[in-house]
Amino acid sequence: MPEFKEEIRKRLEGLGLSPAREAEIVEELSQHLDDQYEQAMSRGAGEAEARQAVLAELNENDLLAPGLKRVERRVTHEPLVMGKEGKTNMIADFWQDLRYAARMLARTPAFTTIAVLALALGIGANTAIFSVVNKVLLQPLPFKNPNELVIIWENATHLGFPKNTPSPANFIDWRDQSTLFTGMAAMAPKDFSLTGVGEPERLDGRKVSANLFDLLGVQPRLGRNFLPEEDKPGTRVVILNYGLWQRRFGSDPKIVGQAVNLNGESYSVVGVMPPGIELPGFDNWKDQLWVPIAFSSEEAQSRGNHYLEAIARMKPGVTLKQARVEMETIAARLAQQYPEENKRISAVVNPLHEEIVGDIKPALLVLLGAVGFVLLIACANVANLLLARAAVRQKEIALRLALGASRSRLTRQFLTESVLLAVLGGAVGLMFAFAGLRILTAFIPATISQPELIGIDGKVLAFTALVAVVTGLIFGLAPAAQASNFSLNETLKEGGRDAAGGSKGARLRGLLVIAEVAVSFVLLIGAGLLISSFLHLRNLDPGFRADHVLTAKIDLPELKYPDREHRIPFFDDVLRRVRALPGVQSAALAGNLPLTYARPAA
Amino acid sequence: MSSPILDRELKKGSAELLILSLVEDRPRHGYDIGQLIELRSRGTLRFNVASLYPLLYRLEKRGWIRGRWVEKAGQRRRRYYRLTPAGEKILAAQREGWRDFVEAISRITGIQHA
Repeated sequence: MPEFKEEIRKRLEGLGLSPAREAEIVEELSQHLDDQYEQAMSRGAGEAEARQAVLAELNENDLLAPGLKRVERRVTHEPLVMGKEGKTNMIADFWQDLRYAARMLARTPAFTTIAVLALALGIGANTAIFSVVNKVLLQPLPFKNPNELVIIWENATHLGFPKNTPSPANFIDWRDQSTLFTGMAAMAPKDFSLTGVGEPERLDGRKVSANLFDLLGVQPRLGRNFLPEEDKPGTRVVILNYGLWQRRFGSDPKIVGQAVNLNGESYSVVGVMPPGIELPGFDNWKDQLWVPIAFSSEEAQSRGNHYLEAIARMKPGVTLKQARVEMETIAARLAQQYPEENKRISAVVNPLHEEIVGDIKPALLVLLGAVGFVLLIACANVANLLLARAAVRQKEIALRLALGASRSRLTRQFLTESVLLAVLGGAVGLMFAFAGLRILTAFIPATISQPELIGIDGKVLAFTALVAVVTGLIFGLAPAAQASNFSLNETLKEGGRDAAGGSKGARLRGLLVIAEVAVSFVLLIGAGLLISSFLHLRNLDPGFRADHVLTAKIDLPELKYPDREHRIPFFDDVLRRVRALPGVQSAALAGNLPLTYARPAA
Repeated sequence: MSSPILDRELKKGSAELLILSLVEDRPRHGYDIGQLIELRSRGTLRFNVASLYPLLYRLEKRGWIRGRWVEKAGQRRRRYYRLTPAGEKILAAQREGWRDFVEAISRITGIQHA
């Protein structure tokens, strides 16, 4: 019987059918033609005649190819062939690489675990530090247009106070004479004893100018801000912070208008602030409530009593430099006017954000740099592991090169493997970061930021993802480069002899180890210096023995103990009774504890 | 059929119906289908290989018939086509349409049913 397959195949050329589909059509049609041929023969036709008739049908009107062309879908891309040069399908290749990489990593669980843990430590540390940097340095303050907010200090450098708290009279003159600010507000810390609801409690509070919250652009969650007429002596109104309202008043939605007992006096609650509102200021002073500052006429005259903090908002468009010049001019005028108190006293204007993060900024950046180095070490370690593994995989590489895989394709596959490794490391690192953050936030001064608000948000996640991918590329480059520089001929000749990856690989690994040791040394020395300064601080002799000493803070309600005559007998009594306690060797009173900030009594 | 144009147009219009009808009761392979059309039309209708198979593939692609390779003892494997549930619906609709069409033509031209 004649063979029709070739004839059919010829007519299918140019249709762009997939090889499998073409074979199927050829098989089906050739059978049909065979049947027809047999039928023609059985009717008595000669071989040549029968063949002629069958082919004539196949050719009739040239219908086959156009008919099939309308029906059959063209194959749009070539089937994937390993190592095929020319047109490539990036996405299909990527999936293939990814699956291959996953299989390779699953095949060597010990290697994978070690590499992922090393990377997780590096990436986790970076994520944890970055989330603090993100919150403390990058996130804007919870106030309206925080860039316009400044803190103004008295500059008494000649006395050793480059940033001194201003006196009320100076503050009032600043406020009244300045033109470049939309407003200026004063604050001063004040103790409060809350009584009348459950346990009595000593609370950190602050006296503030009535316009302070409007100046900051903060709206209360409940009630209202202070009114200008409430900034007068004798007004008893209070705004609570969110935490105090929750904790002591059970988040009572009807708290506004109620009376609370503070320092033995009844204050009317006018508002509750939203969570997260904290004013900049004294160390470890966490405002829980605010009252109007209400200068008495004597206070307003006082120029030598420096205890305020001044916060101001620059008018839109006013630069820091302009504000500084104006404040210095005003201060110079006051120094002339009141030489007795204000001689050589100037004024400094600093951005609020800088004042808040000022001290911790370099520390955080140093930490970020340090964890960056830790990550580099992790990268070097993993690169080393990968290099060693690449040496073991030489046979595989040689085989694939011999089968026609291109070097760029091999490089891409190695990079896919390392990025997959890094992404796994990033995922585990994120878990480490969660744990690390709890520890880290314990060390952040409460005045800097609300540690409870530091967390992992979208920005941090994006940072981690970026770090993971970049990390993968960094530590994947060396093994990938080595794989693509690989001499097929030599490996095949060397056979299993050179398992160490050749002298080139050994040199690269040597360099990595050198770099790693160098970076580790820098980190170790830095850490060592830090610890030794810390130990020095701890061992510093303050001039007194601080062990076995207990302290307690006492605030007396002004109403019951308005003056010295009333207070002294109380304190004498306290001392006498404490000294009488068993186990107490001696007891004493002090206005401020040694080496603590001299917080002015208000 | 006398006119080649009429022949072509009629074939085109009826071809799908013919094939669907032939695989309705049981699966058949392409050669079988071609033979049956010729036989039952007593030679009036003939599909050659070049027009039959593109048509089969088109019907298969639309999901009206489904081809499967079947091996039988002592024979080469062949591709058998069967009617799918979707094909059944199409067949019913086409039969209906064709019947209406033929009746309408008959009433106008006075041709009687055989």
